[in-house]
Amino acid sequence: MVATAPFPVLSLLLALPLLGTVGCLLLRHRFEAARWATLATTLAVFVLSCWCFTQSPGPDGWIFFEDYRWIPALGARFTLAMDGISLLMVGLTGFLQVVAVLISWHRKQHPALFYALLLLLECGILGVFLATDLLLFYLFWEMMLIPMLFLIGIWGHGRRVYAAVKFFLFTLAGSLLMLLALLGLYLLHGQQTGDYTFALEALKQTDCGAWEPWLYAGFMIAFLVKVPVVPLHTWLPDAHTVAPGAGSLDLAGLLLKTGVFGILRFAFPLFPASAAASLPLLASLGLIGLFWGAWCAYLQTDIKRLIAYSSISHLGVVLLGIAAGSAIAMEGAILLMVGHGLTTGAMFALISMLKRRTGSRELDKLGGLWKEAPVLSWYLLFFGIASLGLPGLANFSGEILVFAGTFQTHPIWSALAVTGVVFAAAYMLRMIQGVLWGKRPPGRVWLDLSWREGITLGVLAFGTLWIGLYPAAFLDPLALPVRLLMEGSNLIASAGGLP
Amino acid sequence: MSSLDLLALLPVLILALGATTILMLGAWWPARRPLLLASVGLALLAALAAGGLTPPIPEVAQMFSAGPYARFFTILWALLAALVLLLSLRYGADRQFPAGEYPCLVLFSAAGMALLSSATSLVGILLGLESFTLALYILIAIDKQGTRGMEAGLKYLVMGIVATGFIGFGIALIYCAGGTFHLPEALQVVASAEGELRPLALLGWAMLLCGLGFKISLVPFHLWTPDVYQGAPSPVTALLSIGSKGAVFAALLTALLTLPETGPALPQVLWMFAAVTMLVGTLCALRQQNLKRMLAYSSVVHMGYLLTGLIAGGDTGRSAVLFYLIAYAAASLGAFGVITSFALQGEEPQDYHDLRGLGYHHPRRSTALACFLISLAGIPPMAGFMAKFGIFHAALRADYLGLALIGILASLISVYYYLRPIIVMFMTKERAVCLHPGVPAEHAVLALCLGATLLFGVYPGPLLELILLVIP
Repeated sequence: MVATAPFPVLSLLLALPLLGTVGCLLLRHRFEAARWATLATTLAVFVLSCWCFTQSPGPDGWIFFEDYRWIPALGARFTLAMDGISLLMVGLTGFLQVVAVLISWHRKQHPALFYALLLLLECGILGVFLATDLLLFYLFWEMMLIPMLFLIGIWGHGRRVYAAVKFFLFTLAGSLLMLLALLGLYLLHGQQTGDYTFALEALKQTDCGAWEPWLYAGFMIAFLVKVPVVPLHTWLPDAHTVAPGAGSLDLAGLLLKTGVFGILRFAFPLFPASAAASLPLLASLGLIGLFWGAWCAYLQTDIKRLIAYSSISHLGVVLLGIAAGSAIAMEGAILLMVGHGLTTGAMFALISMLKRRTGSRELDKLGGLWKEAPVLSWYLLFFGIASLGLPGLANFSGEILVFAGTFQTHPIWSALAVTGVVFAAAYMLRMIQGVLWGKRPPGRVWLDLSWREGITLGVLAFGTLWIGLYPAAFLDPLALPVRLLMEGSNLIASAGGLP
Repeated sequence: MSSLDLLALLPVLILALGATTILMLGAWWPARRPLLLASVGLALLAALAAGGLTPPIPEVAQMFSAGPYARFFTILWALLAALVLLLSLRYGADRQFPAGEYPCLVLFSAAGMALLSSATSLVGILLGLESFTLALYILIAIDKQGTRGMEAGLKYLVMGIVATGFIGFGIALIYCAGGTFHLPEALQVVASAEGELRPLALLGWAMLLCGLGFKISLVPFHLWTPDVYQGAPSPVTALLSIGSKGAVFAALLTALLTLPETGPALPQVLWMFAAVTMLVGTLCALRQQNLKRMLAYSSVVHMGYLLTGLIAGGDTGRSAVLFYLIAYAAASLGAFGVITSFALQGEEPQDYHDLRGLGYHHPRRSTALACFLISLAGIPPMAGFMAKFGIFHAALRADYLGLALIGILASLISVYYYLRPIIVMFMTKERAVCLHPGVPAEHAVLALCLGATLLFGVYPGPLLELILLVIP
């Protein structure tokens, strides 16, 4: 089971951002130093996660595994593990956090505190992706909330406190249900075997009997609020609208992924029977989200809100992919999460750059950007069409796998979902047209990208192209864990998806 | 009383005799600072004695236990007294607290709490309870410059005397029905009394629980809580909210040790108390605009959680209650400590309005206050989460799914009122505030509380093991 590493790499991944947080707080009067310390920390995490890509997994899918004593009285252990799925998510986290630091380089209001919270958030997200002890997982799951609350509440615009508290309460309500379900599972397992433990592998063997649907529902509500599915999604547009650039990037790029990841890592393997039974429901929730998100995105005039709704739409495709009951679709869904992280992250970065120049995010107050700032416009066009799924760019690879995989099991639903891409084209092209062409509103001169912004976007564009042109590099680590997941959860054997 | 008895009671004697000495010294040599620091030393000495000396006998005069459980709480309350006194170092000087009386009363109340926590008989409960309640009557009203303190003191006095009446009468009835004061035999009277004696036993326990309910402010006996919390000087509020309630819970834990064997009557009543306390406390706290009143209602809610753990019983329930008490003590002392350290010439910043933008003028203490509130709300990675987790765990294990669900609902709503002060401190427009920068003693106490809150939140293992050793 234990893959050997020359050093405790997973603990180090968690410790680095935590140390960075402390460092930032200590350097709060010298924000220049705090900024560089933050960048160095995020880069170190990213380099470490890249190094993890070079390692090969053991026969049971785990690349690294660490296990320490934690709370013996409760049977909880400090267990971290990394398989192909978490590898991709950790890599994405490391990458996007560097981008998040770069796009908030000139934060004026309490910069050190901002960076400290950004790093604390990174620690929580990485913990969620790595923990395989349920109590530890819950700890990290909730640890993501506080920094995000502050990021939105302190540095947001407009109704920031309202949005921050709404985000907090929605996610916490789900989490508390999960806590109850988690405790129920722990007690059932303890009563059956006499061994009270929170270890994921042990709890998979639990026979939940009549409680299984309830426990599964407790876990799923927590995860689905985070994804978010319609009708639990209303916190997302509000939070995105007011959040600062880096906050939006983390929210869309990473936090939403923790929901899907939780389903794959915990909900499906722990409750295979209920999971199989719920696949049609999940698939329909995914389709509803796909169309509802696209429709709402089309109606928005605030471009940030538009992108927020487009996230709901994309996550609908992801949900359809994991509910399709086909390995190809699931791999595609995970790849789409990475692609969506890059493209949406880039869109939010672009919007915050645009906002800084024009002072507005409203479509009717924008226009004529192409003449003023061609490089910025080019990037907007590039990431816009990447987001709507143009072949050769990131989202296409994921989406086509989801559609193809779903088509094998449920052709009608795949056909329906493909029409969703047309909607995506509608809202995205409307936005691009509104911002890039048309009449330029009067006002001050708009500068083109600075070199720092250019590099940030360039790196994101490189990632987008890579996934689009050569997705095999990302699909390879997924093959084994997805196969194990499908077999372990009996997802293939089931009818799966919708009739 | 033999010398063995005296040796077993040594920590309490250190507190009580030390308090008397301080009082005498204060009459002739009213130097505030040395007396207060001497009292801190005495409290620490008592804690050391409780921790270091193994008592020669397990029980003193059939009234007080001298076992590990009693020693654990003696250490806890002695430390609490020491920390409260340290917090009062500047505050007491600003408000002209009487030099000898104040530390003397704090030590006396710690002695009373230690006695109450170790009580193994109903008489012991009454004795311990009265000795610290008497001290608190004076302490709450010790600030003669403000009027609110007087009002609070009077309210606590009236309510306290009624509660004492209930407890005394209840004990008499229980004795009448069963012929014993000793626990747990006195509890078994509920199950064993027959015929005409059974109503007496039930009424006796009902009155005893009502009286204790006043002290720990269970709904519907909680009405005094917000006024007294608001009016009392903040260090005294901390002592009141942690020590007096915690000590009553410690005694209840001993008293209700054999609860499951008494039939369904008592658990059902306690179930109702716990449910109503959690819900009503939460709803009342939502409306508060004053930090101390909010903390008062929040303490009401916490009593509901503790009661849940108590009803659940078993090793799991009992250790959950003890862990909860410690997590609550650290966070609560910290929160009142922050208010104390901000107090300027007798004015405490209590209203949310006064806290605006504080996070940027006093970042360290505001962050600490935020951490304490987050811990009280039960959000990881603070100790409060592990504490609530333990309570829910115990409730589910004992098949009290309803209480666990109510508890989850209450903690979800509670997040809203715990977040409000945090929002006011960090997310509103800054304003020029003039608050005290704090003195080293206050900072040290706050750092200790914050350290405990964080440590027990992420690494509770050793404390849980210690608790499993001491629970009866």
